[in-house]
Amino acid sequence: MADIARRFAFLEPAALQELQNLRFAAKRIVEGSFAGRHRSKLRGSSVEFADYREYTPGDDLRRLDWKVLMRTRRPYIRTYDEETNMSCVLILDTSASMNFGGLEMSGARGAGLTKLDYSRFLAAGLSYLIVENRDQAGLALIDNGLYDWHPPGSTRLQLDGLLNSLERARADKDTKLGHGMEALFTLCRRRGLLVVISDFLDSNLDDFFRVVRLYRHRRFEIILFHVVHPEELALPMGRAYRFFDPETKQEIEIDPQDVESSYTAGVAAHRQLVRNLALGSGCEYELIDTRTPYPNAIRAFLRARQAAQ
Amino acid sequence: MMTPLHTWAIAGAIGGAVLPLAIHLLTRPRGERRALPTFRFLTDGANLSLRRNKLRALLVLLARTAAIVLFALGFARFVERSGQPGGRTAAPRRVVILDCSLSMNAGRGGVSLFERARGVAQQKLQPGEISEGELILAAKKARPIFGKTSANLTALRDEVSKARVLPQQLDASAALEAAARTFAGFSEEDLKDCEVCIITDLQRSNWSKANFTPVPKSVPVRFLNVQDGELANAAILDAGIQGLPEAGAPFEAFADVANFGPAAEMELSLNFDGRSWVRKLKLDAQGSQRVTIELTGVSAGWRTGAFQLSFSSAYADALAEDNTFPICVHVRDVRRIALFTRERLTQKGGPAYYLERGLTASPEATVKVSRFAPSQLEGELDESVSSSDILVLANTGRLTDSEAASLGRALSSGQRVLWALQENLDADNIKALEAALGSALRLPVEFIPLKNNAGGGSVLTPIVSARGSERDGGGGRFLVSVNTDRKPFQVFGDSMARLSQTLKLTGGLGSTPRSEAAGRDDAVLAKFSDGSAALIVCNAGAGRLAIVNMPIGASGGNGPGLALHPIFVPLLQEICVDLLSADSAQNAPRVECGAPLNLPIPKPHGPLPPGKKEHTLQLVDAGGKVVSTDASKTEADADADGPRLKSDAAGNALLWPAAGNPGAYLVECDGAPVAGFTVIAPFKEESDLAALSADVIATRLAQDRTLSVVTANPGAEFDAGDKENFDIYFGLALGFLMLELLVLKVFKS
Repeated sequence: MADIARRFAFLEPAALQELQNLRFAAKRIVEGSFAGRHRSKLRGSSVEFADYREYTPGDDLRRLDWKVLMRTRRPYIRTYDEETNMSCVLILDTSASMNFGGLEMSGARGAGLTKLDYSRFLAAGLSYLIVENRDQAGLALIDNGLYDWHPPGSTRLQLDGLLNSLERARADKDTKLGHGMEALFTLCRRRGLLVVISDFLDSNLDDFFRVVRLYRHRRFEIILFHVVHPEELALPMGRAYRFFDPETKQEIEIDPQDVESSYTAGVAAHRQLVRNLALGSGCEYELIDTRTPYPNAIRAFLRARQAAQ
Repeated sequence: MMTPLHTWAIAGAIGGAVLPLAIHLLTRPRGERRALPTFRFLTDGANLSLRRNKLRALLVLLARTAAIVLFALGFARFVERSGQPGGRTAAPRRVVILDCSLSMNAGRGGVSLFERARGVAQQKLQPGEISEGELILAAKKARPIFGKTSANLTALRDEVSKARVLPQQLDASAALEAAARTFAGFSEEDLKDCEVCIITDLQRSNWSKANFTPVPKSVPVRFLNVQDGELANAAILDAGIQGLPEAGAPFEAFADVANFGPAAEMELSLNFDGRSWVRKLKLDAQGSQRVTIELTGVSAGWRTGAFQLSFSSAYADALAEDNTFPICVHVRDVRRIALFTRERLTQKGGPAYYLERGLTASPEATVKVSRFAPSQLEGELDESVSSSDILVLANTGRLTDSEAASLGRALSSGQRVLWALQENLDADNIKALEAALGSALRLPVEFIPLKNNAGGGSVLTPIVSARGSERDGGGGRFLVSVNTDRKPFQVFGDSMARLSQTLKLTGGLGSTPRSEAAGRDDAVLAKFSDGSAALIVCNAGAGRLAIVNMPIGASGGNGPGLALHPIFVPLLQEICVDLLSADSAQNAPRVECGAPLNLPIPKPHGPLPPGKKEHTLQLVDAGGKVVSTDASKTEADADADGPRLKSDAAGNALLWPAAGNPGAYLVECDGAPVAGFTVIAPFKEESDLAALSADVIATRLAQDRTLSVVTANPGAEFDAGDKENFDIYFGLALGFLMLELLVLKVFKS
């Protein structure tokens, strides 16, 4: 563990220590490749009884419950829950808007990071946690499309690949989460857990959530990590700034005081919109401030998740 | 004086233009470039903010632009003015007329108009401002310094610093003529570089009749008005003596006081002959009043004094000089009358007999009548004759031309003459006198002898008119037209009508009006029922002549004469008083400051003072200070305008080419006053400080020439007109800069 942490920038030994005893479990039934700790979508011959259903021709007669047949004179088949491993795909938004953060920010760990760096720490930590739990972790890097994809895997080699991709991630394009997710849709053949880490500063959120609903239709469990930076929650103090959009390169020279209220309201409305759309689409939504150290954020998230289960 | 091309002016203009730009650059918001992924949330609020910013930028831009334009406009206007006629040029020839008249001594707050004018004049003669200049100090006379333009501006500025206000009226036309003479010989091209600057208070009484004709039309004339507001002033316009100042007899001193300011209470005091009188006055705005003070018990001799006007502290009297008015009076001890007649002393009942008694019957004055034969009029008059106050002629017989000429000379030199026409030949005598005096005596009527007059024969043919019965003198004549508004009949008032009805006179001369005498009828104070003049009082030369065309005695069978009527003595006394008192100038001559004075001084008579070989004359002022003596100065070393006492075989005289400071002066002979006079300032013209309006100058006076009027301020760098423009433009520009700051404040940027 220490060895891998030393080799990758976004895997810190101290953080790994804190994540040691945590378990990232899927809330829903997952469709894994291997037997594992997670309940499988498939009904099969596993050890744990699930239910009865009427017999249909073609069913394995070995699963016919003879006692029930005798009592009811009708044939029922016994079904069992199959336990399998979790397949989790981490989708990291690497658009230019994620490359924002002030080095001047200090104090808590992570506060001085860009949203992308913070997200990379977060993704690396989650990947490590998933692989450590012998689940499968995949990675998709998207900006205005999908440009890097690692299918889920549970080996250390897979983890190395993910971490390498995270380190190579670039953030210089505009955001079209819907496009990337749509491209990923055909690649994710097995249902599982999708973790989207993004600031959701997408001009076409509707398209993104349209694709999200496609995933949900395929019974993917989706968790949206909404990463926000404190510097974008409120405008800086001062008389005049020439703000520019890192994605569209638009510029505007303005007195922050003139637009403070409308800006703050706009940001809050956007967060609320993302939250509403996420929850409305059946996704789990987690707002993460980059001032929160990412191990703490992961721990808090997982504990809350476990408590909910 | 700063020119538009002066380095500092250019620097100032550039600074003025750059200032708003500098403010704009300094206050322009410098935005720090900063990435903001949430950029989209700025735009909604930013739209409003951007609109505000655009509005702010627009307002700021407008304000700055306006400020810059106004700065530029003010400067351009200034430059434009200098290019216009009347404006400054780079190096013109300038003639500066500095008003040194009395009104320039007016002032407010301790600063006189003349001191302001001096400062302006110094500016106008600043080296660098002009290439050549000339200074004309203008009062009653215009005194050019060089007579032509000169580059020696330092000398002109020295003259400005030495200039002082003279107690004289400004002769504006004379000053303009002097200025015009400066340009003599200049070509039209040269004249384009010339201008006349008149630094004055624009006093209405001085400038309303100014004649600008002598000044070439191509030469612009600029008035620099140093009077920037109305000044209150009260003054004694005139003062003197009413009545006949004779020892023991009361007479009056009068003063005409005028108020050219707001209504005010004031105090008029008279210090005369060691005594004081005080009168309190209350004069309305623009009001005037004559104040008379009866003087009694004044002893004989030359007496001086002065009226003094004083105010409460609330009244800001602008001109102090006109609050004092000197008076000088010769109080006669004896009224000396020389009676010329053929009548013998022993002859009683004749005109001379009655005249002598009537003249001496004055109730107040001591009258001494001396008889002389008419032949004593021949040649040079005897001292006893010339020193007489009145020459009376009655029954003189025919006067020779020489005698008539001598009488004419006496009248010309100021003598008073009472002539009682008693004989037909007096008509010829009057004609001879008229011939001797020429234009100095123009009687309104021509006397003609009456047909049946008992007097001596006449060469003139009697005129028989429609009223021949009266004209022949046989039926007697009544006084039908008497002017009771004037002396000598004034004293009789309404009773004169009744008195005249009882006065039927037989004899005297007839008269016919002269056609060319229109307008002089007021000299005829009484007429007979036949239209003949009964009494004429008129000026003759410097003297005064009274002609009484009434038979006085009762001799000759012509019936009762005037002497038998109760009106005789009073009328005779009133005629004497009128002759004597009307001549206050003769009593004590008055001369205006700056005017020439030639004062005859009686020859000294009496013994020489111990140790002296000749009599000593000296001129002293009212305070006893010796102004001039005959021995102290010769003609060569005497001041050209100073007083000079002249004593030679022809007689003594005081010559003063330009009379000096106002006041009463006495000429003393061996320490005793023998003559006196007053020098007065032209208060009537100079005390009203009302200024002529610029509109009147620009329209009525200017006619087709370039006249401009600006208010001058010696403390300003520029002319007042320029300064006004600068003030307006600079003030507006400053206002727009303030507006810009206000906009920035309101928009919180």
